[in-house]
Amino acid sequence: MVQLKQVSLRLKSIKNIQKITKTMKMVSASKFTKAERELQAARPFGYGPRKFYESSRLIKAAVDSKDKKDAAAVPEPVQEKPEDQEAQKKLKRIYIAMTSDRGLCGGVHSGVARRIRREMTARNAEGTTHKLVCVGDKARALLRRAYSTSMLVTVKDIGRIAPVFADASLMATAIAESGFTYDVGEIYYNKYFTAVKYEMSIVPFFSKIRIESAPNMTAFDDVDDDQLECYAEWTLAALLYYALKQGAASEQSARMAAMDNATKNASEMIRKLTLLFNRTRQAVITRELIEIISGAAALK
Amino acid sequence: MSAWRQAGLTYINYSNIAAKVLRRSLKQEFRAEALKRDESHVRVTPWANGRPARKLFFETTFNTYLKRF
Repeated sequence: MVQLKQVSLRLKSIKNIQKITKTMKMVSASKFTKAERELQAARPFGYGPRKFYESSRLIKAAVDSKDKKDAAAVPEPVQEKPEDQEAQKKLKRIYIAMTSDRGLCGGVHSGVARRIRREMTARNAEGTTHKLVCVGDKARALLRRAYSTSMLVTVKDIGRIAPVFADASLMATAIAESGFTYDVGEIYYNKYFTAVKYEMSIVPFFSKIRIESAPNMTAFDDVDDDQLECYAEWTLAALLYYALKQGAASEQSARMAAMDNATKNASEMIRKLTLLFNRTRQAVITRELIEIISGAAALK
Repeated sequence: MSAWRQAGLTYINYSNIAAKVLRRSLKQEFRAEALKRDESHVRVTPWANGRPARKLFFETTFNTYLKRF
């Protein structure tokens, strides 16, 4: 009897959970369609800077690289001479982790955090030369313990509503006004491919001084100091906006998949528990019948 | 140096103010949708010495320039 009650309670709670995950899946599906649409409009913000980096030979990797290994590799600034290898180690860097505040979306946030941790340990990051910007509470939670001395800026309230360019502007201004003069920076974000595929990607950005001294800068006509400064400021905001949009689309698609899996698992559990419940119920009835009959037979 | 840079604006401020003016000049049926993009709802916290510091002055200057238009 006690077992029957426990099974029925468990069944009720799992049915509730299934309703919740099904609703979450539908909500994130609607947010996903909107996010993907807005991402289409935001693609030029990412393509432009990256094409410029390639034209000015600031980075080696081609923009439309077909090689899968290249796409996930960190695009490093072009190294002209062996002495530059040493200078490479002394570069002041910013790492920007693009996540959000909300969970239940598979491995989107942990993937970004893991990659940043790997890069920072590989480069022996110190608090003075390597700074971290955490966009979203998830990144902050995952990276706060290990890298609190490197933390430059954290950003909250991402993920509740769709990102706009004003958000990216605010973040870019915060980085500029923090007073840390960086040489290069990297934005770690989840690039959206299809509704079932996303991949962690890295896009670099450079300070005005590094853009000025790009190897192929002479190919550009009539570019003066003020314009380069505007361009450097603008590129950071544009790339942040691009990464925000990509991250939002990836997150919603990952949440859809995760909630779909959860709903399926819950259905499976409900099926098994229902069978168990019926079996237990019949066993109880049979036991009672046996007691009644044997009692009646004893009285005769 | 441009006039706006001498006044203390960055290019991002300049661009956002121009965008704000453009949104205000849209026709009625497109205005409401566009005005939603004017505001930012994220909260930025600068950190110092491994702990969150107080909000920097920049946030108010950024929004002040924006609100003027």
